Amino acid sequence: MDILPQLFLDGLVVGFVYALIAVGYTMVYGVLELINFAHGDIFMVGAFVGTEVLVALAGWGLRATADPWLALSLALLPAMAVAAALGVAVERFAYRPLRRSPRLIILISAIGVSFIIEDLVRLVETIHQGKFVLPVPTVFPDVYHVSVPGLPSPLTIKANSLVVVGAAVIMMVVLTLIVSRTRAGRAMRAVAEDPVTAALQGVDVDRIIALTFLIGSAMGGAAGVLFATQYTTITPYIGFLIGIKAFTAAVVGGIGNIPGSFLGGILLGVLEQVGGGFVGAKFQNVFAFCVLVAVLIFKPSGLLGQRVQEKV
Amino acid sequence: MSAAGGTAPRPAQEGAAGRAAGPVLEARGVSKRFGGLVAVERVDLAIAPGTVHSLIGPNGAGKTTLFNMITGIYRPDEGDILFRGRSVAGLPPEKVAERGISRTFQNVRLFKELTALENVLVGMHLHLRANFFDVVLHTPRVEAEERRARREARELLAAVGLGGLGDELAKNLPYGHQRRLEIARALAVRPALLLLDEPAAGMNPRETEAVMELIDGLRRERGLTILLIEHDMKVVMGISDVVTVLDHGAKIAEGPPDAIRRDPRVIEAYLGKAVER
Amino acid sequence: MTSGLMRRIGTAVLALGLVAFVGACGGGGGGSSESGGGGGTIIKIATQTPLSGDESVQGIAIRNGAELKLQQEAPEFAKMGFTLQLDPQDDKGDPNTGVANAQKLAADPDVLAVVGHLDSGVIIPSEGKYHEGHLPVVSPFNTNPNVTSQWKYPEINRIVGRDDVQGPVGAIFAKQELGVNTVFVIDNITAYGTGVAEAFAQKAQELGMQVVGRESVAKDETDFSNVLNKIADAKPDLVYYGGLYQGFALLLNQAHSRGIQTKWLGPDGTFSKGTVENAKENAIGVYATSIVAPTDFTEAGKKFIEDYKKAYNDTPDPAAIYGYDAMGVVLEALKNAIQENGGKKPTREQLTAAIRAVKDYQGALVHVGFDDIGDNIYAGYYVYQYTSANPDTNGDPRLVAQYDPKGNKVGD
Repeated sequence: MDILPQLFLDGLVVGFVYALIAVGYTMVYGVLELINFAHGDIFMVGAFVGTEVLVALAGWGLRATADPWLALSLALLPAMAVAAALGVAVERFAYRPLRRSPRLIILISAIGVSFIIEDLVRLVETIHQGKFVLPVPTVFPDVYHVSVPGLPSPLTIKANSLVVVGAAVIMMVVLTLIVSRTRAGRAMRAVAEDPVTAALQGVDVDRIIALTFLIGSAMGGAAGVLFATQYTTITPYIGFLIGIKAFTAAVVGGIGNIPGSFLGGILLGVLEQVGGGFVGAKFQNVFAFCVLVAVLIFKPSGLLGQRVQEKV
Repeated sequence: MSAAGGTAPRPAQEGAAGRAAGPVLEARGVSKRFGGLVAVERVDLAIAPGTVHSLIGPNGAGKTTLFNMITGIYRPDEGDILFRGRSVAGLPPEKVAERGISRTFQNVRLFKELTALENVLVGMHLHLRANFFDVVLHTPRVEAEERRARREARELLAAVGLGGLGDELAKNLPYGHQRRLEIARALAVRPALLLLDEPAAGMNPRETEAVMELIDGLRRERGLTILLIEHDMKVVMGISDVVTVLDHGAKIAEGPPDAIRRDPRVIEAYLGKAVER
Repeated sequence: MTSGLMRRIGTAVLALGLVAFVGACGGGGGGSSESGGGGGTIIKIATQTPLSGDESVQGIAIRNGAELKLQQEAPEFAKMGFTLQLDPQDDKGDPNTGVANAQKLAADPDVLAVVGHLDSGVIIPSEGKYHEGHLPVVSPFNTNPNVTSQWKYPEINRIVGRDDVQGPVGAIFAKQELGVNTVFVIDNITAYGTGVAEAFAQKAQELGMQVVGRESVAKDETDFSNVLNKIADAKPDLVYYGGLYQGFALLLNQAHSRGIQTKWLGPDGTFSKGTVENAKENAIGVYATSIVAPTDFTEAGKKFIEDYKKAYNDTPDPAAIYGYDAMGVVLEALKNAIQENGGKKPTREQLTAAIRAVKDYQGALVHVGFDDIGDNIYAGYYVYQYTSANPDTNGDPRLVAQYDPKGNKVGD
């Protein structure tokens, strides 16, 4: 198939977006064993904040394309900040009071939060913009056609795709450094393994959990902005399907395992696109999920998941 | 052990200095029930500074429950627990640790996916002051602090006999080493009171000997007060200053090892069986 | 222990309550739907369209159009001793919700008729409930053939054309007016989108065009890169998208940012302010078939636009006037039924018969006469091209061709 390399490339791009979101699921699951259903919506909020910034900049006469790096930075920072604050608030008010309740109750609370966020964004945007389906200003308009020897047709690469991948890689590296090298990251891993013992070492578990939500949500918010610039239109409902996919990516990578979630996200993105090339776009999700289920049958704890230990 | 100057117990906190001669830890009529089961019943306990104080008693006597109440895992149903004269009953574990109490566990509870060094560094968590933004921005302060912490952690590892094993994942260490690592991690909290839950469990006589030496050294060289749960009577009688005996949640005897050894109630409830064995 | 547990359950219930509350607030769109005072016998006409979610731009437009007509006619009914009320329902574009609402409406004796829905996939499963409740429906916008052809219920009517004509009209247009030889067909996996796309593809082949690609992208998907790669590879003369404006705008934007050059055609679901709003410049030059005649075709249509702007402070989406005229048909039939019933409130059965009996109603835009299965014998088909990126004027659509109910080109 001639377009296979192109499909692979596009799959990588969407895969990096999934990976950034999947990290949020996996980090929260790591410390709380909770599927944070609202995470997809935090991603969506990030997309809206970033888009609003780009729209506002255009309104002030600064078209994003004039200084794309500045525009992207100005969109990313508030989006990450708002998403982080929202994530921490969700943890504080929707999960922490229920932490000792049965898992199902927290799960219901999470689903409730997800609806609340979606409808609030819709409400706010309807009041503010008079609509809630927002077109996203273009930031990096260039498209490159790269001829690769041996390939029948040149590869099409959007400048924006490169930025998405680059930003995602940078964030993943920073996150990995934070988790592996810093005191906070150490405490996070300790809490993930055994919160009671961590508390006995003087680790304030609540703070670490809040920090986990903060970091995961900030990355989700950034993913939202990157997604918005890449896929051009956003609605308050984009978080659901993408959230499910990112969550699946996290599970396939081995939930609780951060490198695993990167791997799972990228794998899902590539499978989806390349699979879609063979079986048709209609079945691309079916195909991708079938492969992922197969992975889980042979490796139930996920690709990089190894910890199958009881928590006391 | 001489090099580990940085991990000396912290100076007594405000107001506590005047009571230096009083007990480090005092339990007053502490009880804990689980449903209908009484785990600990109105126990009084006073631990003098600088002593090794042992808790003994048959399985289910309530020793570990008492530990859990002291360290904030359980809140006592009745009574109060004072540490250096201030109540710690019902404080969350991290606050108890902040006051200066740390512990080990009957079943080793290390962070298995972290290295030995990282385990100790988690214990030092309280004493690292850099905040999140320092960390993200990687200020020189963070750098300096982290370097200092790593040096200190390596010294602690050396002190418990794990020098050079810092980069091993905790789960890959042999059992005896894991127990020592747990002690090193507890020391990293810089406690004034160290609670050891069966430190010699599952060890051969030679390892047991080494653990006794270690505990004795902690007391002598660091001025730590140690509360010890132990089944191995050789350990208990060998290093304890005071022994408290629990049975069915209640205190049935207390005194120096020699007196306990001769106490008829103790012999009946506990030692008798041990002797038969 | 117990109080702690209760508190937690309380928190969970509170969270759910909040959800319901926010949902209700947002979903209602604020509508104050009572109209005309008077203490007469209450007659409620319901609307069922998506008032929340992706498709609510058109859904709310239909509701508003219907409301406007109802308010304008209310004084006349008040003279006859009836108080007209609008009962707007939100079907969310979701079949389950639509069926549940239909059940609810059927159970309310004050409700005599329904103007709805937007999605063919929602009205079709709801029809059984309407039929059981003998509740007549006039659809403002559903073009799937099955809406009237599947069960042929006497209650179900529509004032718009059918996709088995609209799709082929698109193909005829592409062949005859644009000289297209190769087409790439995409649908959004809904009753509507797939139906119209299939009809288009079939006619395209009959006319000798080559279908070089046939793909489906679910309507919740936001990433079209897979399909776009195939389009880039196949280089068709024209891409046909069977779906709604939301997906179409995404497709246009992503195609543009990928540098794909081709002609674009969509059915009436894409002929919306939403396409222009979201695709901006990328919408310019794009074609859409529609069942909607240009609103400013008629004097009544121009007046409608004035009235609508006054009432809602917004340019009407093309769908709005269909809500207006669907309500017009209902109220026309209601007047007849009241007369035949000696001035008393008619039964639903009487109204059902009166609606089907409408043979020559001239609405603000639509000329309506129902055949024996409730299709409009005057339904026309129109092809537009967006000429601007201005959403306030719906992209200034230019009428480029017009077809009669049989699919024959009108005029020249």
